[in-house]
Amino acid sequence: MTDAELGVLGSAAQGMAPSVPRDRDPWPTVALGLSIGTVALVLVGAAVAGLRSSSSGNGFLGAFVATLPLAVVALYVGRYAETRIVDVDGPLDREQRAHLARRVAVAGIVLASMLCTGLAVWASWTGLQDVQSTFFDTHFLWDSLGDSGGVLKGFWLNVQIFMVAQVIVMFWALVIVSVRQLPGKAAAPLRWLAIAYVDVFRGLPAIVTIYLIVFGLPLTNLPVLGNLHVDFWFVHADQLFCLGVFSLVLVYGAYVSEVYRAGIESVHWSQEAAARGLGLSRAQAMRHVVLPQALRRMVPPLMNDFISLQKDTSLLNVGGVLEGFNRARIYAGNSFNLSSVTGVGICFLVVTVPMTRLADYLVKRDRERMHGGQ
Amino acid sequence: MPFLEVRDVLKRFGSNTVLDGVSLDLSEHQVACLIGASGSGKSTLLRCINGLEPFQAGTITVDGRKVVQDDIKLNRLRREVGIVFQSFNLFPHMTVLDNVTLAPMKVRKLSEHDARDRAFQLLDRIGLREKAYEYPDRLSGGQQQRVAIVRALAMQPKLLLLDEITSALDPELVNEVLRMVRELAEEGMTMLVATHEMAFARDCATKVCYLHEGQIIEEGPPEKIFTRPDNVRTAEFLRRTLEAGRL
Repeated sequence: MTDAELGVLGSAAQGMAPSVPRDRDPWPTVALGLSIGTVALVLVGAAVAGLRSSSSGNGFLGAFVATLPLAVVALYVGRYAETRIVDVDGPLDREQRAHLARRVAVAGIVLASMLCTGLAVWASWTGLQDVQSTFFDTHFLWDSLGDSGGVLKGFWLNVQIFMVAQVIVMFWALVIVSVRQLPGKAAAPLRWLAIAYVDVFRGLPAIVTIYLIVFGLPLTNLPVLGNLHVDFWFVHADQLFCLGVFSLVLVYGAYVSEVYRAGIESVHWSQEAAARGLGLSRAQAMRHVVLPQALRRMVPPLMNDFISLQKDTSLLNVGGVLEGFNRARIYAGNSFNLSSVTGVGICFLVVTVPMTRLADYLVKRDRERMHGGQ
Repeated sequence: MPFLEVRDVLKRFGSNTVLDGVSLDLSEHQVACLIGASGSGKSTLLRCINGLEPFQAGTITVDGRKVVQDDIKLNRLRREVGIVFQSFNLFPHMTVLDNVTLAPMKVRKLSEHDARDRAFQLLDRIGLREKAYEYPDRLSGGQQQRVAIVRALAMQPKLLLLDEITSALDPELVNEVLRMVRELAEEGMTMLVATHEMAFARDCATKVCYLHEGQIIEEGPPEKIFTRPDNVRTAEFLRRTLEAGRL
């Protein structure tokens, strides 16, 4: 047959074929067929898998996973069919069919996923048991937390380091940001110093800073820093504790000063202009107009940094601080089991998750307030 | 000697000359309106008078006191010179009352009681007493701008600078603000007003100055400027403004 003949035949066939009117749209039926097919496949597969329960479920796992895309296609075809029917005033049964197709498809997806999960668990049961005994061995977990492992005692040290460091960081960062904001040419060297500090300690990995400070400073004959410790009235802190806090303050002071700076700069300059225009001094404008607005915006990022600080207290183990993680690690080495480390992980979560939630809540509240006005 | 004296003020932002030798006199109880296209330097001139912008040459004298770039002297100057901005710039974290009482308490060292008394008197006058404990967000633009004016008035300034205070307002809110400014003018407040509201300038100003590219190229009483301007550029500007329906 030549091309010309083909063309003629083609056009004749086109002319003869009855065009499908929109109310005879086949999509609802297709969708329903697809969804019922999916569910049937899943059910038959499940039945066979049940009958041959002694054999491995791996083959069926693959089959169920394969039915998932089919079910998703059915779902989308059903939705498409529904949207087409809405603007045609088609017969009601078509709409119902499309709707039913979607519901069946959803049921198919749910069934297939449940079977997948079940089979996956079943197929890897011995592996899961290994997971349990490696990470969640209740005996080792409890034992390490108590006196023999001392993980809880160590974690209390983490909390102490965190609380002391946090307070110092807040003041230290305020000093840094104030120096950075000093006006005038005379203060330029001070500003450069502050910028250099922030750049260096934001750029250095925390663990490197800690290593250098904790091992290095005691080797120097620097006044005060060479032998850092506190013995004042009822406050006693040994050299290791002080060095740990000192290194964390160096690292986090740099971060937090940036948070302060971003907060202050986020207050539009026109606010300061309005305050100065009323005769308020630079300091008064800062105190009564800029800072109150900046503080509100600083709270969420500040919370984030403090959560990080809380976690990074565990980095002090490289300097030999006997904090929670270090003790858990020693216990894990002695018991050939990692559950003690899981234990200290849980301790951290107990403290950090509520803080994360609080930070998220504060962000959300802040956003709502901003969109609430005007 | 006039209350406000501006002599040959030159202001540059980098290589861009914004004020190119501006001179202007204003006596007490007079109202001068600065008119001119956007970018002609109206706002910059007001900000220079208030010391919010440094300028490179020339002198500005307010009530016999020179404007110099010295924080302590500027703080003192600003007690006498109030400024109101196009975008209100109320403090969003304070109630209306706190907005109005902040400067009198911190700068004039009024007691909280006295500052509140004065604030309530002023708010009463503009009919916003019941909004005293609201935050600025809850007020309409016109109300916010009137509060901003009251905030400036609470310092009892001798000179009030108004920087296009109706430009950010919806048309139906412009009148309530202008009415308030008219009342102030009638009470004898000395004001320098940058504005696009020609009808207001015609009715209230004792003097109208036309700024063009950083220079005052024509000034005179409103009836003269608006009817028979000498300068072709002034005439052109007014004709275009008239076409835009702003007169």
